[in-house]
Amino acid sequence: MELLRIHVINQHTMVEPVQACITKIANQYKLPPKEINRLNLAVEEAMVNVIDFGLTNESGQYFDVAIQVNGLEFDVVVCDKGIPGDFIADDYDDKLGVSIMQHVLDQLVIKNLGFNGREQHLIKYLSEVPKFEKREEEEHCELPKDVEFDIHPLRKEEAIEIARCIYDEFGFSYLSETVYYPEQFFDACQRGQIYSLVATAPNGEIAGHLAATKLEHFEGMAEMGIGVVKKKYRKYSIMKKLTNKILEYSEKADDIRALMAEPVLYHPITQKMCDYYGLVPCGMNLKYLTSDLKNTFSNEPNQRLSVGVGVKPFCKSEIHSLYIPNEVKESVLKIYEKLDVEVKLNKSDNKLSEKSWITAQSNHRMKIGKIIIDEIGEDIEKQIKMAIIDLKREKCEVIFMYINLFDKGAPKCYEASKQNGFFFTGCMPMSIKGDYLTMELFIDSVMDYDKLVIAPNFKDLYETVKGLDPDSI
Amino acid sequence: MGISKKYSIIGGGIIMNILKKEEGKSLILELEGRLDTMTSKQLEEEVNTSFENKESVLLNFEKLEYLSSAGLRVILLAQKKMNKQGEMKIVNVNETVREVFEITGFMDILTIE
Repeated sequence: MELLRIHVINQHTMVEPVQACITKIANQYKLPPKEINRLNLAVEEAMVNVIDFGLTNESGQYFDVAIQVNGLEFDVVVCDKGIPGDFIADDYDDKLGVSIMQHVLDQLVIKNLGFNGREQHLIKYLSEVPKFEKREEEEHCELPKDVEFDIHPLRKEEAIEIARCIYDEFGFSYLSETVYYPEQFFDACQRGQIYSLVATAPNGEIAGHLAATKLEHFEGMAEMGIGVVKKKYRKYSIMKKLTNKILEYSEKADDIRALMAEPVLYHPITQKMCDYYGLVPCGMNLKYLTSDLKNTFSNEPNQRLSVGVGVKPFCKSEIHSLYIPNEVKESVLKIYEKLDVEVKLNKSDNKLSEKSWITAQSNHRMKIGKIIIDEIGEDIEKQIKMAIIDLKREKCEVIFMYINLFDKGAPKCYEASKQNGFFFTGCMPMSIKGDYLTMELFIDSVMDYDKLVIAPNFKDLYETVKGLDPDSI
Repeated sequence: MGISKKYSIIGGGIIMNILKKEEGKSLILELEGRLDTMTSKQLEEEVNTSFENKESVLLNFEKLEYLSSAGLRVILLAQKKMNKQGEMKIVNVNETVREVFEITGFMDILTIE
């Protein structure tokens, strides 16, 4: 979430005022003073990069400094649309500034976006990962059959126990890491970013949890997840009750157009649950989770694990006007038919704008990258290549691509992505910005489809994806 | 001993002072505030003028709160100059500034006490 954006003139005198502003906001987010000093040092180096090398020497040119908080990342983004170049790779100066930035930040990401300019992301983590220890499993709890579990929105004092339950179940491999930080998790609930429901036993003990998290890059969509039920309480249908409540909430929420879930593809039960609750199989995120995930359904370490994408739309009355690539038209239309959402097919006239608008982001902990393409221009092939280089440099093992099907350049973008090794994995419909075709690229690995355990509702999609993966085995 | 004080004034606020003490071929500079892109020019000017014919230079960083790469470059310039004509020492470095010296490898090329 972007908190603030400052439009800055290319003068060195602007460094200190910008640092003062960052200090104020970082204080609000309880970043320790020492870390704020370190961040500010990087801010000066990044701003000087732009003023001295990124822009021409003419006065009166501007660049932006934005402050974002994404989960547990406090991210200062210095954005300019100056002379194309790479502050790390190119020989601008003695590299002292870059060396300082690399040492004082938790992450330094420099994105060269071609005609769209350049972004220097100066990232500090808001807190260190809390220390949890895996607890012993408790004996199954014998309660009366008609026992009532209280289901209520998360209370502040409960957040720490939810974090522990998630840790007991998933270790530190859960994708949405906010849950491990009780204070930030509760804050996210207070801000309305997460709707978290807790089930407590009659003795007050927390028995289970499930949440709907609004997706930042797919506005209008929420993801049902962070689901856990303590093993001792597993025969009381707690997850079913929580799921019903989350569905009820999501359907009524004005800002949620669809609910999505990511059932694991190494055990059929969560895929079957999708079917039961009316979530339509729309896609697959292959090799999505890190190798150390061990939970109820899997004890196989050292391999990346895959999930499906199930979507339940709440706004079915609209007609979705899409540009679908020919090769996958039939498969996509089949998905929309199941979603019960009407599609108007458009023909691309090949007249695209000059420039594309794409977002590339990486998750270092999970070693995955995402490329989200919202506007497709004539330069799309070049942009995709550059984004892949950036994400490879950040050691991503898998890259997920999202192509906006509302854009007439979608078919061209699909072909350009294929040229670069991506293959079709489904779609992500229903966000306010558009419906997205999803594709994937594995870096130096292939997918063994026989290892997936697929429930009947995901079978069609599985066959399609497997058939389109050029390296499928 | 001659004493003089110089200020860097930006937008109405003083962000670095240099207190200069000279005695014969010795020079002591006490820096106060920030040594950054804006103020490093001021120290560079001192290096180019006050360092002439000095055999001993002492930089007192007791009140220096902030140091960026622009400041480092000037310190390096000063060290190179003094390598030819005498010695330079930096004293009373706080934790924040010391970290910048450490991560850039300057601890090995400067005399920091």
